[in-house]
Amino acid sequence: MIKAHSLVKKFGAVEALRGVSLEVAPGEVVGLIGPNGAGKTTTLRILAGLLSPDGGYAEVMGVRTTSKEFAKVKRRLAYLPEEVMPYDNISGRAFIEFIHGLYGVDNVKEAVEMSGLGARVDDKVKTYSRGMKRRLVLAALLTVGASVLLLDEPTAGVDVVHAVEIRRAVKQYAAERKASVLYSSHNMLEVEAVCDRVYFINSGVVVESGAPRALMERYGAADLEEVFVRLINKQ
Amino acid sequence: MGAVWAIVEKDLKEVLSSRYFIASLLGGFVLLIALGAVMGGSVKAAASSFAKFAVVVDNTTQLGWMFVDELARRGGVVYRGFSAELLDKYGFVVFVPANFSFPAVVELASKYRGVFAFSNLPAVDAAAEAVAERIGLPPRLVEQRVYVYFGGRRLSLEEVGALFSAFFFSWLFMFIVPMMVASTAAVAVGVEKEKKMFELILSTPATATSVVVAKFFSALLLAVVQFLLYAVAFAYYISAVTAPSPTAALPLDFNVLAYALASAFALSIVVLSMSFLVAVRTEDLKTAQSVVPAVVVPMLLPSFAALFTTVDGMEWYPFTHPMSIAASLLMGQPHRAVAYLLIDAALAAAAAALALRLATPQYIVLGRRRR
Repeated sequence: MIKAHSLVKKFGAVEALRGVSLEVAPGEVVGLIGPNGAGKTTTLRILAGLLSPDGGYAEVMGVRTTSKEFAKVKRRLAYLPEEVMPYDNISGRAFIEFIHGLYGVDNVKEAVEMSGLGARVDDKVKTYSRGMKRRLVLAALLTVGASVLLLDEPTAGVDVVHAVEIRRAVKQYAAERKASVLYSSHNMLEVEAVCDRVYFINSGVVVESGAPRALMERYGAADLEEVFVRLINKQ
Repeated sequence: MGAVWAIVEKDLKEVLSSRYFIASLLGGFVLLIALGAVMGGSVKAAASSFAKFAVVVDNTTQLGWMFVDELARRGGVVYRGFSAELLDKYGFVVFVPANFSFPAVVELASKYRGVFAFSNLPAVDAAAEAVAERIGLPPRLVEQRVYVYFGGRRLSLEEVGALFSAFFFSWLFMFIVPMMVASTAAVAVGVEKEKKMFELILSTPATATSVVVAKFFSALLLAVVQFLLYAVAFAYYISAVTAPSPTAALPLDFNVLAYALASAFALSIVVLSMSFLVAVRTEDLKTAQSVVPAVVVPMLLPSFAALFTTVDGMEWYPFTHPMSIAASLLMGQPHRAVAYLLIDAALAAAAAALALRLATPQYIVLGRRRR
């Protein structure tokens, strides 16, 4: 349902992507792991239709992200950018309504429940902590009926208890709705817990991929962090 | 001392590499240079126009001829009769009466010249003083009565007031409305950039075109609300300082104002398009609010000059059109006003089309076009 084939993207002299290929099947949560500047966000932006690749192609639900037909696919796609923050001067509820309005859905009640904000959902966003803001955006996006989720650091700034809750919600979402989820994160333990498979990306290329347990066995590592460090050192 | 210098060095490095600081610095520099050039040119033009004057005299007293002689010494060009062309050629036309004697009343004719419309001609007082000295009288000044001409017609005092009001309000429209639009556009776009929300919005079914159109509407609506509120406050201010009757002090022609406002609206679309394209290149609200005015204000500066001149010859610059439109309507040339309005509308359409074409998702998210 999500496919990237030999993606190349240049920003001036900088080659952000140098032939990234990956696939995510329906019902699967796949991790995209790499150091800062590896090309994770650029890959997600191309898959979300925000950037056009300079080489290769990306498909979501069988439709090229650069084609006109992709406009229809966007109704079934939800992208959580890494640093996105809701507007300060509106309430959490108003923000959910805004996002749902963009998708033409009305599922506010479920989103409010998923956000875990309770009565605070009617307070202005500027009174929220960073974690609350992140949960708000994620809850708004997980309730628009998307079949494809592109999540860039979904638990960044979220406390442990709520991070566990978010991981559970994402996993459950993929399983129940047969949704394809591409999950980018720096947190290897999180990726290990959530993802069915992972892609390691470094300097704009995929350097390794597979199921977390299989990778750990292949590299004789205790966890994904160790696999990651060995891969980086090998390069 | 080591710590002090370390902090100072860090501050200088940080501030001097800040886009916000550099934009403000360069914006202010460009603004002052542009303001100096525009205002300086305007003041010079006004001053040289004042310096040139004609003296119209057919028959007068011996004292009157002495007065004419002194006026000629001060640069006055003597004519036997008056014609409207003299007003185009000279800043003032001085009429020396047939029965000239001290104390004298001297009539002057001048073309409408904004806030300088009723300025006196210093050469008249100087010539009168010289004549008084020549005949051994204490210095005597003549009373100058300036009559203002516009479109070849002599205006009453009330008409000059009405004309200035029409021009002043047209100027308000052509400067303040686009400035408000630019400011609200900077806020509307800057917030999205700061919150990285454009990325999220553009990944939803919303297209880049719908984002541009929505931002245009938001900025215009906010600017209209802002303008209306200020207009009410301004009307109150004017009524308070021009008691008892503000309408007598500032008689306005609704038709003129409607045209001027329509022109200001069209030009605001041009400003809005530029502001949008500039603001999406910034990364946060503060930078957007600093960079956008730095780009827009210099474009609007020539409108200041229009307050001090006859408006003639300024119509080539679209951002003075609200005033040129007012002038055309007041001179009974509605076809010219319509032509200016059509040019403004065409410019607005072209600017909006350019913004829509350039504003791809990549441009909105990254602030640069695909290479």
